[in-house]
Amino acid sequence: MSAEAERPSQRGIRINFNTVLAAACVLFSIFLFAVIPSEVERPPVLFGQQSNGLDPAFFPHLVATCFLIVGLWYLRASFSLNDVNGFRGLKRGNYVSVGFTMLMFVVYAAILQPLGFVLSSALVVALLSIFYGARHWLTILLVALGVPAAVYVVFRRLLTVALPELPDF
Amino acid sequence: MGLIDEANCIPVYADPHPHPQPLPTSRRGALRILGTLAPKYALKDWALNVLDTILHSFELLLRVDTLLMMSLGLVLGIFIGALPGFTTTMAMAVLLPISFFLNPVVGIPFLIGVYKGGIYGGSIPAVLVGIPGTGASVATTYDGLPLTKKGQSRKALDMALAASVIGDLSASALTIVLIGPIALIAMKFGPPELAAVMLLSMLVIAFSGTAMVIKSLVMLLLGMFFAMVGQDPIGALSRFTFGFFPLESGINLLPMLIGLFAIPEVLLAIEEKAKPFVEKSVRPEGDRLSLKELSACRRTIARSTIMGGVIGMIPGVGQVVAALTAYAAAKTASPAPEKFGTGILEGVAAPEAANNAVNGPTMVPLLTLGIPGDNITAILLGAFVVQGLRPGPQLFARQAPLIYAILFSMLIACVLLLVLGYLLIPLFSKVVMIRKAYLVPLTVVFAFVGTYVFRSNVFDLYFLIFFGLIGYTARKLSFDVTPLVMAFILTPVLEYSLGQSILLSQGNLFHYVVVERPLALAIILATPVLTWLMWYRTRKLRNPDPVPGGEPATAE
Repeated sequence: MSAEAERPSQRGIRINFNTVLAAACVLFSIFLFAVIPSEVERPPVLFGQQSNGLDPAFFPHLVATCFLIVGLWYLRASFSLNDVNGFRGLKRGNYVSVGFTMLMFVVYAAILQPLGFVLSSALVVALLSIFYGARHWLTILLVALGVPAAVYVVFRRLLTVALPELPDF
Repeated sequence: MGLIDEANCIPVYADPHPHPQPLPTSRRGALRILGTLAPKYALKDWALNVLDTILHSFELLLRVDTLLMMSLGLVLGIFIGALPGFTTTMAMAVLLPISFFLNPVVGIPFLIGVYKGGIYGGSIPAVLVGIPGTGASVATTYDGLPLTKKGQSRKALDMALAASVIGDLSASALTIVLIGPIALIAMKFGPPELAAVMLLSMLVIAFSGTAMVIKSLVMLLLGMFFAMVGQDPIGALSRFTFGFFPLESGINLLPMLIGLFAIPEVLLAIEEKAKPFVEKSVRPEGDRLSLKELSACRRTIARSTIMGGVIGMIPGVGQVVAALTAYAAAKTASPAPEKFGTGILEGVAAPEAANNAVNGPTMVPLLTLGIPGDNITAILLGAFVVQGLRPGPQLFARQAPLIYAILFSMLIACVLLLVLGYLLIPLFSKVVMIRKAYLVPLTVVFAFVGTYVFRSNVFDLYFLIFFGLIGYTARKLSFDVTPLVMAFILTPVLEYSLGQSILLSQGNLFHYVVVERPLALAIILATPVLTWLMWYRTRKLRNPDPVPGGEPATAE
């Protein structure tokens, strides 16, 4: 949400992040109504008779309708809401930290199976620790290798749960 | 409750397919002694059944591995609770998967240990450095830090521990006494009543949540939408899969729980890089708490326990409100209210007894109706479901000894908390010095491995990230994720119960409910009244003296 968007408009209506979210709710309800016919499977017709049970599309329609009503209510209420947008207080460095961490999450999910649990975890822990300011190499190494290895042993030996193993090089 | 086959002293529960086993000699003897004492047959049957359930539950519970895992849970809970910024909910979410691979009477008490340890652990930094480890300890900072400044931090920590244990133990014992009769009422519920209760619960949770009602309703609807992805609960027909195969089996509860409760904590912690939780070194100092000082606070502890217990039964209110309300009540009842905030032991006892007294009663709606009252009980529900146990009236009918074993484990956890807390306070006070640079990446590893091990499905990790992003955004934009989780859990039950009700009504639901199901009708009619009442009461509890621009109390 830009600063301009949060500034009161000429008509005295305060457009803020809540207004945007409320509009998104209304749009989402329209989207739901649009996709229900194609995304909700119809019950089979047996011996030419329709089922007299609960229609699988009933709840989707109910939720879509409620989204529309709540979205419009939220839209109307949003103009007078004074909620603080928590993202506005963040500095560039905060965004970089969060962005880097999210990127590491995706990388971790992608490499967990190919590289195995211990190796991928060690890599992620080491990179994140260094990024967050850890500079003591021995501690980084101990934490990055020791803890995933211990977790691996606990899950494999004590809980008999399979975790991705090291690849065959 | 079922009957007793007197010839063999075999309990017969309300299970349609019971497989009774002969009782051990010791239990047969105890039952026969009680049988001779009980004057009336009906009373005798009931008493025998209760005693048998209790004895059976102790048989299940008293195992070395249960006690060890519960102790481990308490230690881990206190450890994470003592870290400012890391919540008990996060501890539960991250450690939840460990319980999946343990016997239910080991795994669930382990989580109960984490829960109780986490709530208590929050008081350690609250007393030592004035930073609440968890939201539940906000009120503890008011007198905890001044006591530390007076050089009485050890006394304050002891009082926090004693009040926590007394409050928790009393409320848990009361829960055990009350839960049986409540479960008997719940067993009378059929699909229409269950559907009505589900609807009521969802609305109460949305209206009594920590965020604004309109925002809670948005989250509730979002949770309902996520619950519909996959297959419908009646005919297993495909819904909202968008041709994407991993969505065919629906969204799993575990990535949602860990994503919503653990990942946002990590992202919030890393916004400010590398700093330790607290800059300066701290350690408990001064004399330990005397029995005389504890006795002087007995009325405050008793009052706070009652308040916490009552608040615990209300869905969605939680420890924060209980602690703040109890602190305010203690101040009002005190002959010297001006001393509150200057460092008196009553100011620590009141919030600590109240926030821990919430723990036991939150289990009542969970175990009797399958309705989680807050985020922590939602996580516990996840543990039950993965173990193949669906909390609700049927579970109580079929697995009463297991349920009572879990309830009794709450009492044992309190005793263990007293011992471990007393011995390990100096150690846990050092926890606040741990560098985030190491702890946060390790939390990420635990969150990912916990999500992965359940189904060994890498797509669950992407769901984890997705829900983590939703949780983080929700925190930033003042949304409460509790209604989302509750709706996700309760919507399939609601839809299934409604579907069953429609089939039972043979096409005329209105007539069926009005004429044949008066209890369901009463619940439906009471829904708007109760919803409004809960909204009004929780608003009053959160804002006893409205302060312009003041922030509402937020749950964990």
